[in-house]
Amino acid sequence: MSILRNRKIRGSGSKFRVVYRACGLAAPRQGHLTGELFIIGNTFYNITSTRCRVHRVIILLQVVLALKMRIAFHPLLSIAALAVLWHIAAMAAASPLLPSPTAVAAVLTREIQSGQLPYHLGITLARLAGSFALAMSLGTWLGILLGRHPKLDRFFDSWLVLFLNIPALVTIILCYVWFGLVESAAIAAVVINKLPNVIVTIREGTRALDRDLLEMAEVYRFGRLKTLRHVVWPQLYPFVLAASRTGLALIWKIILVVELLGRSNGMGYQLHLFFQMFNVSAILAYTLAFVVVVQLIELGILKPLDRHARRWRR
Amino acid sequence: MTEVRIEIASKHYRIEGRLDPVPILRDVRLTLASGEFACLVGPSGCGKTTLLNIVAGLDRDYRGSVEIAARRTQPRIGYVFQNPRLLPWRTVRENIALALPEATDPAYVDHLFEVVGLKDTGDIYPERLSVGMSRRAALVRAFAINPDLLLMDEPFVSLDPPTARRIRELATRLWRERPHTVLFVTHDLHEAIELADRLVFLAGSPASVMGDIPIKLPRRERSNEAIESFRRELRAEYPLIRSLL
Repeated sequence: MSILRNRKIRGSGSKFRVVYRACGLAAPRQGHLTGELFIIGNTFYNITSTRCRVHRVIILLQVVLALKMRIAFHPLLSIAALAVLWHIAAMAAASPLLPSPTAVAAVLTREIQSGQLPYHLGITLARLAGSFALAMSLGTWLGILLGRHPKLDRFFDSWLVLFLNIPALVTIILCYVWFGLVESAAIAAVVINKLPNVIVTIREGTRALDRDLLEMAEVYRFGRLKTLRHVVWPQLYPFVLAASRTGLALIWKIILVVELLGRSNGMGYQLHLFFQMFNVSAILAYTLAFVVVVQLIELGILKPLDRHARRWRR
Repeated sequence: MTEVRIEIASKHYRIEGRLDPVPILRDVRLTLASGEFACLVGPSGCGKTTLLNIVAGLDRDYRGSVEIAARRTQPRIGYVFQNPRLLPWRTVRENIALALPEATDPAYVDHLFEVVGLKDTGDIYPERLSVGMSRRAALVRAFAINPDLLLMDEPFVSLDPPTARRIRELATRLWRERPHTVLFVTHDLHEAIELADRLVFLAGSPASVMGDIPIKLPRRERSNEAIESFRRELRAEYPLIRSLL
């Protein structure tokens, strides 16, 4: 028993510690170091729970297996696996049309250093922010309006259905045809594409507002502003957040097409340029930068907002 | 102080898919003297809550009038709903603060919190409270605004008897501290006799006032036996309302 503990478990204690760190787990406590207690994920392993040596070995094996699984399924590792696959494919293809990850990384650093990528990404982000803010505020307002007034809703419902089903490309072309190849036309095209989505989501949210609470607010004379802020907004917030998330995903994709068709800067324009030159490395480098920024927005802004909205729930 | 004059000629409900609206209240005439504690008794579904909503000004789709003569230009109404109706995303204290008019004495609110035993739960979100505690918080909210008229809609229903009794006692205690006109809805006659100065029976379809009986029994002498004997007298004296008891 003591041999087992000393040689195998305590001996591998430091190894486990490294593994723990690699898995992003909390630093092991005393029990972990002596190799008696292991907490992996939400499973608890206690080697001292049995006196039988065979059982102890089995538990230990379970611990090792669990740690290995954790490492194997770690998101960073899976991304690394993807990169390795990509690399192998690139080696096999040996063509400029499928550059290796290192080549793409080189292009990425070069583009960042030259200021080209930050400039175009910045332009696209600015367009994104503008059209997003416009679509969200307008859509929220209209959504509340339609949700509160069934008659208006009945009238405009068919309009909404129509606008929901117009292909993005059509609105973009029409905006450019009617308003010219200008910034406002680009923004308008994105907003028109996104707006019906926001309206529909917020309208659902408004319809689902708790009448009991609205009545309470009326009896206790909350007034318009207080009711909006303390009764209506907290209920609409999840819907607004849902609309923002789907909205962001949609706008990202549309904005590139808008830039490709009628602007002379931005990610869409650059990608178009690279496409004409068959510069796949640059296309992949820009895509990568793009994906990272989107993820940062998701993790840095939307997730915390979501958590904030849920804090009162049990 | 406050006198409440309710005169409802008729109130109809529109039901989806039915052409003619369904009458629910007819000729409900009721005057509450200031500081009076009136209990509205009637079978469930007879329109008591509808009547309260009309008095509260939530329902304006009726024929008739409700006058609340108040000290202020706008009568202040406290309403304890059947369910507590607290905002789940605001803490208990925030919930009550939101309902308060600007010139409220914070010490009085603290006092209310203390009386109902919620002193330490002010910073908790309502979803973490038990039903009884949420009800007490709703009670605090209604009393805290120092209302001209207090409406209570079966505030003790669906509570276990000991909790219900405790909250009932709290409500009476708070009311005695600062008496104001109360219209209390219940279908429990025992509860009504225990609390009220006056019983108003609402029944029928459409409902109207079937009986209006003052309770002369002093509050101090309302033991269980006294209430029971009063109830028996009621049955004997008012055959019309016997079906309701």
